[in-house]
Amino acid sequence: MIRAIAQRPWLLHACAGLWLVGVCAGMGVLLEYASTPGDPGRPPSTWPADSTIPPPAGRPVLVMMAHPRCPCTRASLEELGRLMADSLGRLDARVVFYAPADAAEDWWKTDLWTSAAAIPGVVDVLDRDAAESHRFHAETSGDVLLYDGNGRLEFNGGITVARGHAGDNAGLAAIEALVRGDTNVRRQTPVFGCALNDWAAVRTGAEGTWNR
Amino acid sequence: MESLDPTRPGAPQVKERAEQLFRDHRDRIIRRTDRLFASLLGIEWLGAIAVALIVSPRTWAGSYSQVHLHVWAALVLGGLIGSLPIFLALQRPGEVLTRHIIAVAQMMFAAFLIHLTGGRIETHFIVFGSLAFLAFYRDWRVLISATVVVVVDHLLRGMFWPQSVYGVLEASVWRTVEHTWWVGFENVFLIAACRQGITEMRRIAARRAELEATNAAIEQQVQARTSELASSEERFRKLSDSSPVGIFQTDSAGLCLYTNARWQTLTGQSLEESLGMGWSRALHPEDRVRVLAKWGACAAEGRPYDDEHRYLTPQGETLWVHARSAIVRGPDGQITEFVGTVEDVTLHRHAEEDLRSAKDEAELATRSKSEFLANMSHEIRTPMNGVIGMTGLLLETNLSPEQRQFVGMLRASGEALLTIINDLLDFSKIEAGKLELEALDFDLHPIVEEVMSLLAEKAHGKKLELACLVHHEVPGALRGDPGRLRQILLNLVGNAIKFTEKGEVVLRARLEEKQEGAVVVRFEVTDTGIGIAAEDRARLFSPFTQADGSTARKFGGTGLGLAISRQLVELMGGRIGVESEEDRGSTFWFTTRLLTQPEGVRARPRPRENLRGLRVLVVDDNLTNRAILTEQARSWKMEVQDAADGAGALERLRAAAARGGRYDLAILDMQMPGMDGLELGRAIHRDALLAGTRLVMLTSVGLRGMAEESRRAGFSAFLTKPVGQSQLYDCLATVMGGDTQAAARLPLVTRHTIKEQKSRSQSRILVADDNETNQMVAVQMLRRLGCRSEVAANGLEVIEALKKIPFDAILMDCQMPEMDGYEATRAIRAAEAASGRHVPIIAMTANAMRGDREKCLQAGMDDYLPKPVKVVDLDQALKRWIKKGETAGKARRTVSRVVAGPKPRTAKASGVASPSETSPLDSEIFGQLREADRAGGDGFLAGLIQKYLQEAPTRILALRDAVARADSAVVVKAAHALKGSAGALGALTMAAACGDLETLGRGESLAGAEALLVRVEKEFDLVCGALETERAGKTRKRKAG
Repeated sequence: MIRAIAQRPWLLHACAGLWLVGVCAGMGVLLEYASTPGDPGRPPSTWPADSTIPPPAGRPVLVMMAHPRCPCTRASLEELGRLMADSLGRLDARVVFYAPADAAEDWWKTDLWTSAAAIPGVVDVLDRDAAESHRFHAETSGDVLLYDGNGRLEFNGGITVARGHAGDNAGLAAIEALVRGDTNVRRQTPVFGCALNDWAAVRTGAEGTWNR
Repeated sequence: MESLDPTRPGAPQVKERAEQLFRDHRDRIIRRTDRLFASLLGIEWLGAIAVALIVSPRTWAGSYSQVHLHVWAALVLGGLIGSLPIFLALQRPGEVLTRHIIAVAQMMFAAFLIHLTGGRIETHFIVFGSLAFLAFYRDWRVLISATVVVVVDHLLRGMFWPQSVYGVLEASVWRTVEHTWWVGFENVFLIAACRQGITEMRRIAARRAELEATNAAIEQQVQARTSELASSEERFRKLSDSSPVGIFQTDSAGLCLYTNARWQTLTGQSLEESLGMGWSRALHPEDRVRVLAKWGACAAEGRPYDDEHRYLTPQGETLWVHARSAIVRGPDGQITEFVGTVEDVTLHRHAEEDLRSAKDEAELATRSKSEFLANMSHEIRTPMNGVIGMTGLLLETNLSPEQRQFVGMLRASGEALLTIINDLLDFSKIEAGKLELEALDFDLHPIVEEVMSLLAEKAHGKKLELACLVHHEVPGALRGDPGRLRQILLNLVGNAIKFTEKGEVVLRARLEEKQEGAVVVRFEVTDTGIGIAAEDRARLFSPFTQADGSTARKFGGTGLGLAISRQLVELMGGRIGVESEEDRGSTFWFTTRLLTQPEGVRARPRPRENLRGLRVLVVDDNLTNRAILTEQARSWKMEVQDAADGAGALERLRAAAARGGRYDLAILDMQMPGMDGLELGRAIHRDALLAGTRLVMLTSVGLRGMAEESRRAGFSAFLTKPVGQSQLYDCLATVMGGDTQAAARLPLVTRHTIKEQKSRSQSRILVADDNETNQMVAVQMLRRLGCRSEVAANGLEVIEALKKIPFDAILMDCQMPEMDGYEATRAIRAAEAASGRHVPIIAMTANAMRGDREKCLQAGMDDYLPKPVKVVDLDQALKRWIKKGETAGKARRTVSRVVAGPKPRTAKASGVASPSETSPLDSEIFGQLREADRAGGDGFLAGLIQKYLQEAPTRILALRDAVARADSAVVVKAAHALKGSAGALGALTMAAACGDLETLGRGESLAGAEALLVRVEKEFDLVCGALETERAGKTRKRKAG
């Protein structure tokens, strides 16, 4: 069959067309996945009182929810680094890393944890069994909550343009504007990243494809 | 890939080939690039999988995870992206679709990898890198395809997902321009690089095509040359192998490189055995050292080798070979090799040796023949010389007429026999190839005259006209063999006379060609004889043949004359031939090349007046010859002694010299036992005591070179036997004329020089007379007086003849037509006034009138002789006016002796009626004619009578006719002519009657002419009768002899 295809130009050209369509379709699927955000969650408008994370004390506090193994969050952390570089001294950041209750350190202390801890002004917080993500009602890794110095929620959303894609994005621009005092900004952007809760996988019903 | 066909024409073909090479090169690059990208895409696929596994292996939901979509995308999409281009690269490499698909796939992979890496700016460089890799195709269109993918990707993203391109929802135009610029920027350079690359490829292809064309042409030439070389080598090999001569080849040092089959056959060596110096083993041991030395020297000095030597074959056979070599030089002129041939000359050598032996034998045989001929010639001539000599002596004694007649016949027979013997000997010499010529100085005129003189009687006896003419351009002083020339002329003229019954025989000599130091003279003998048939002419010059067999019976002869003449002519460097017409006559001609004497005829001293008192020694082993010579010498009042051999001669000579009575002269015979004449002469010449004795060689063997050898040996004269007495006398007188020192420097005296001397000492007289009878009489008289003569028929001819010949005197008839003697004399004297010369002119005239002598003297003549002229008067007149050598004196003395006292002969003795009053012929005049005839021996009188009897009747008829017509002029002319001829014969009565008639004719009237005419006719009848009687008597005498 291969020889038949090779020896028949018209067939060859037809295959080329199909191939091109397939490739474009594949690229389209990828693009679609990359541009499909996660659950944005419903963060409280004020700092939860039962959070173990110290509340803001006169300076805004940025809280990023992160799954330590989410590949997309790498881009979010990269943007956070950029943000903190521009906003250093004016903003405190806390990256809350999910970890199952029984997960060993090597489970949650990944390169993301290390990268986040390396960002100046960022404090990594281990969130066993997603307790904090529950208090803040964050569902997706990479979700960024910005509370002002009084503990009021200023921003909620992602700071990447797509899954795993670093670069200029609306969320980062909004946070930078809020930190500068500009209030006429977007308050919410999509969040691209993995789910922070088990039940997201259960919920999808694709139990055969998820592994624990 | 096919090579360039060299037979196809130039530039278009090269262009086509360049294009083909370019396409092939480009195809290879494209295919190679296809394979490269196939590999790259495969690697990129694997890379994508790896990146996906590294960057995003799983996606999470809390503690749950599954394989990330990126991994599946890397596997599937990556595989898909790479599948088609890899497939095309493997299945259809080099095709346009393949590379464009590859370009699209590569850009897709770039986008995919950028996506997988999260859009990292570093990953974007893969786009630029991919474009750069795609430039490997050197096809800018591929770059376009790739760029289109980027552009479409940006456009579609911009349309559907702008944030994925620039990170913002609203795309900035400038950012698009910025992205486009960078891609375009790179494309510009890449496209330029592609085009440059293509151009370079085309250039390379063109050069390669040209190189291929050049290589193809060179290859073709090389093949052609190789083919030619192979053909040449093959040709050489075939020639060499088939050559009948041995061929060898050596290097510059002389070491053998090659020998052909023939050489190997000759020597018995194989090619391998002959290489290097192996060939030298084939040389004969006796020649080896010499040959090797010579070969080595030739090789060292770069000379060709040429030598004959021997080979010794393995079978022990000796071969003679001739080896030659030639030098072969390279372009720089240095010797590169020697090539040569070896030729078997064994047979040639043997043939040479055989030839040498045969030559030696032939030379020995020739020497034997020569000796035999010389001996035979000597043995035959010696007794003949004795016979002839004795008859000569006998004739000098007092004999009765009958005895004289018998002795004369005996001498004539002896001379005839000697002639035949000479012919046979000459023929033998021809057969032996020993017939040789002398190289002597001589004058042609006396030779011709002598021939005429010898044959005149025969001619006149047959009533034939015999005449000769030597053209004035023929030089007189020549060098050759006068004896042989005379022999040829005698043969031809004698034959002409023999085969002619009526008419004439004329001998002419003219100059045919003039060369440097020589002349070619052509002789012609023309007769009015029987002629020769064409079919007989070819055999004429062959020996023992005449025109036909009957000729021999009718005319006699040995048939050798013409054969000998032909041989002699050819030896003289000439040709001989005949032109003839039957019954009309023949012309025998021959040419001969004679040298001219550079010094002219050499002067010789005046011969001695007489030999009285001279001491002479005669040396001859033959008693008879000694006796003859002794007797001859004694008759000349010489003191003579003889010796029989050389030793005896030397003894006598030395003894005489010792006594103070040296011999003045020695006559030596050549052929003597022990010491021959030449050896004796040398011995005498070497002896200072005897060197003053003059030597005369007498030989019966006239071998070429002997005269010259005799001269070198010191001889003063060289004569061939038989020697006539007068000839011997003249020779001795000449030899003894002049002193000893002068004699040593003089040319050799021979019989020819003696004749020439006599000829030159003779006065040359011009006879001017219109009457031929008178001419003949005068010429004969002059001959008797020892003078040479020419004739002229009128004054004009006299003047012309004087321009050519300086005559000593002129006998001028006064009455001649056209210009008479008086007028001619005046003209001669007028011409002499300018030159200062003076030729004596003696008038001969029948005018005996008073005053005629004065008239002659007034005209300028010196003397006067009345007709009929008497010899004694003529002699005296000549003596008065001509001062010549005294050798003529002898002839004159003889004439005077004879003329002064003529003894009347009895009728019984002579058979002729003696002149008396009853004879119409004057005895004195007719007597001197008889004497002249007898002395000359050439039939002069018979010819004279014949001429008169032929002409006189015609003149009488003319006279009668003139009388009848009363034509005084014709009467005078005819009567004058008759008077002259009658007077010359002594018919004085008739001459007087003619004179009267002439006188009458000069008068005003011819009355009485008839009576005078009758008298003339009557006297003529008487004269005729007497002349017929005289002629009949001579005929009887001849038949009796």
